Amino acid sequence: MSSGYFPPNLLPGPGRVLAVFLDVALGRTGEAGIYSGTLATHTLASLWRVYAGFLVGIGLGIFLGLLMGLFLWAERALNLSIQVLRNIPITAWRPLAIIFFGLADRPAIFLIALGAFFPSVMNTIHGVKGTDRIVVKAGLMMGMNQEQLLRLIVLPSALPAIFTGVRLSMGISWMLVILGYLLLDANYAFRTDVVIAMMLNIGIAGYLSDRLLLLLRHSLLGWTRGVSIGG
Amino acid sequence: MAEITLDRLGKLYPTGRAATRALEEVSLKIGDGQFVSVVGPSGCGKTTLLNLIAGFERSTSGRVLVDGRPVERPGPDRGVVFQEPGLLPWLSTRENIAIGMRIQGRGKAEIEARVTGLLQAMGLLPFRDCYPFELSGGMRQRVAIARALALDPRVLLMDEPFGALDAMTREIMQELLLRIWEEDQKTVLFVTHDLEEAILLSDLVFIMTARPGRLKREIPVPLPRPRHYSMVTSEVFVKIKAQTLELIREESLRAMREEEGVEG
Repeated sequence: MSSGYFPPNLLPGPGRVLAVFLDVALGRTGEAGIYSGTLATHTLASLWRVYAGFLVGIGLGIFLGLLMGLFLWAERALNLSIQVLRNIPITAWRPLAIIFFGLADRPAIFLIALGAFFPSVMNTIHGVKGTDRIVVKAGLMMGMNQEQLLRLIVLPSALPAIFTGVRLSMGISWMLVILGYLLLDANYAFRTDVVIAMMLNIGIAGYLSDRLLLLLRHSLLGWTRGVSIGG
Repeated sequence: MAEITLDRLGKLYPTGRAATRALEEVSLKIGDGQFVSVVGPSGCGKTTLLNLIAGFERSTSGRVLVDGRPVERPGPDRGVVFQEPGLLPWLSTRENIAIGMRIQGRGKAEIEARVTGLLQAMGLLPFRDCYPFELSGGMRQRVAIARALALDPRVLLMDEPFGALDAMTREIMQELLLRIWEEDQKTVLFVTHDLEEAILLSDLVFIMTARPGRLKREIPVPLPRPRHYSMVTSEVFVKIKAQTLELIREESLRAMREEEGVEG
């Protein structure tokens, strides 16, 4: 099967892609050439990069987002830098990442962390600042101290927005793994069929990661059923 | 319970080079166990007055004393009910009522007993495990009142608590509040723009002037207790209403003229 408009070696049809995907996964037919049977290894490597970068990125993003949402001094100190830096395409950092971190996993994790950082920090700030002032007043009336206000009112209030940020971060993390070895490598080798099979793989892995987050969200944020759009 | 004394209370809000005078020289005394209302034209500083007593804001002059002690910060001795319920959306009815007592470190058995009592008194027992989004506006406001009462405050401060409810629900809530107050006679300060509501509920109605808010008149309401909604047609009620309406009209007109004067 081919698309008919392009030669099959340039743009393989769905049947060919599926066959290659299965071979990359299972290594039975050898259709994927040197990539045959390498899916598990590459997926594990990607999973490690994505989750390591994602966790570093959202960890820092949520922490700084909380600081900036709560304290004017933190917002004043960091806002301008963040607003400037977040416009730079993450791929543009690649040369610097290699200079800082050398080759292999570390630069990739750095890039993914950077990409994951921005949605989390922005949404956390938004969530903290959106805390209902009347609810805060109610907390003060009950005699809550600063720590209790943060733990019992501000954090739960901000959680839906933080979660939205984390979901976006997860998506970006998977997008950035495209900088990973296999995809570019196959691209250079003109194996479009392998490239598309890998795109599919990333799509599926990203989707499953998002489902995982939604499961977590559901158990943590059941109360938002009535106040926000579920997902 | 408690006495509230306002001593030449004033509040300025900085606005650019000038300052807005929200309250000026408000002195009054609310007796122990009294139910008083504060009414006045919009923007007269009613809510500011309540915020100062609650401790959410600090006065720029004068003092607020509750039982002779100056108010410095909010605290569980002054329960507040806001115009919006302001419930914690991630907590059930029961948890919303209990959380204040938990903060105060009360014992589990005491919390359990008190929450159940309040659920019963407020007609919320069937909804004890519901989240706020599952409740109607009137029920949410009942949870908010129960939450304030759970702390067993010496003073209950209510800022237009029924303003957002429909007329039918409002009447029911007013009667509910009367029953509860008649039982444990807390000192209540009730801010409203609804004159009938103020007269029906209160021993004393304070009428405020247009900005800057000052005390214009103090009108006692000699209606017998227990109060009932049917009293709104009584001769005493009608007379007091006519008298207060006139006073508020004066102030509202004055406020409008001043605004026009500023703009023109």
